[in-house]
Amino acid sequence: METESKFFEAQRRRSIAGYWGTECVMALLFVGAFLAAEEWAGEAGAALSLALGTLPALVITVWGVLAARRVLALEEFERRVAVNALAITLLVTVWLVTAWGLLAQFAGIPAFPSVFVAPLAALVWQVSWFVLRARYL
Amino acid sequence: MKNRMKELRTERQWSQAKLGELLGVSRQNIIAIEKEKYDPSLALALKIARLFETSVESIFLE
Repeated sequence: METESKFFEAQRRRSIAGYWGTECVMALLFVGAFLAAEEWAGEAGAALSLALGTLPALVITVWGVLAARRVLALEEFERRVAVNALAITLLVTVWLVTAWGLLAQFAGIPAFPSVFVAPLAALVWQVSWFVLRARYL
Repeated sequence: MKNRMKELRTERQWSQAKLGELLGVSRQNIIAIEKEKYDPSLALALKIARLFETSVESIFLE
């Protein structure tokens, strides 16, 4: 491989490593914020409980903004794959949450905890992104 | 859409990575176009035609 290509390949690998690093940090922050809210929100005062309850939502917001910025910075092919994966994610998540909700209402299964909708969507997005990319290449 | 990307690239002895760099896109993009699984945007098609010094319609065939 030529030196120039090696440079671009190294740059691509660094970008992928940076992406997964960010994803892991944001996932850990979300779990941490969620556990903190669950542990202390009830015992703390009203204002602190509200702040603790808002914290996971704040993490999700930052996570969403970072994901959107990353997709916008992608080149056209990668962006198309990412947007297709987003469309699949929307359909799968809506279907799953609705189907689960119906089963919870009529068949008596435990309700789907709404705090897991965003992590579920993130998981579906990553899986569908990976599958779509493999299909194109 | 059928295309002559691979033929034109190999004529010039360029790797997919090299072509990707020249066009400012990823190697994966070049692979997907060559496999005819992805049609490039108009802007990229024009860039490809300019790079190969030919017309868009002589690279991308119906």
